[in-house]
Amino acid sequence: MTTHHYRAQPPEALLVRPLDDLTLLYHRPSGQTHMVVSPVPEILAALQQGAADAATLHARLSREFDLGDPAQAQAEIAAHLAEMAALGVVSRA
Amino acid sequence: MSEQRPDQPGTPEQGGEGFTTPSRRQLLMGGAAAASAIVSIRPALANTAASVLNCTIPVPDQAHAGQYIAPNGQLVPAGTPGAFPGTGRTFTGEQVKQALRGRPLPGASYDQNQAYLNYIRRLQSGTSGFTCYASLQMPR
Repeated sequence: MTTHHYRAQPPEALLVRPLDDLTLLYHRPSGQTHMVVSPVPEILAALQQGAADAATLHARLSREFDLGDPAQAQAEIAAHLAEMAALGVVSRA
Repeated sequence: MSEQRPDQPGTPEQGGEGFTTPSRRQLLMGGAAAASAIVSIRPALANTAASVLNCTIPVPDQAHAGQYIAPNGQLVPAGTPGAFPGTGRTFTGEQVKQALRGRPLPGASYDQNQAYLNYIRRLQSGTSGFTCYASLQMPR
């Protein structure tokens, strides 16, 4: 399985606004707004600690959250990261 | 005066709100349907769509609105012979993806299409639409 590393966008590129259960992301470079739910905001927050792959992010998130089966959680984090990268809200490192 | 303060940090709060809540809680996972965690809103359009290809690329970007686009994709002054006026619109990632495979951009003649695609290919980091174009290059 290919492992990709991802990094957060610079703060000026992404505006993050939590609204109860939803979080709005305004991505300045594309002018797009994305409505996201957990675990996307948590993944973004965990990426603030530095570029990481799904396994590293899993380790970071595990300190705060109960993620269930580690293999499944890592695969899901990887899938979310790939989609977030496609939208530009994170970048491949 | 009715605001509640979490003055008992040691108590496990029911359904802790806010992403900074220190208590451990279940992180919702979208499973295989990761797209369900993100819904994108197209600018200037009221409808929503969940496709990653709904990001948009303005041709040209707003900072250069009014400039023409030469056949090689460079921005040139309005009225330059052989160049085309900007579209005054944005193309979606899906439209650009299709255009890169040979289907013309909506509303563009063959030569316009080539010029606009050359413009998009020359997009650089920091230019509106670059991230969208870059995302099209990523294997999915």
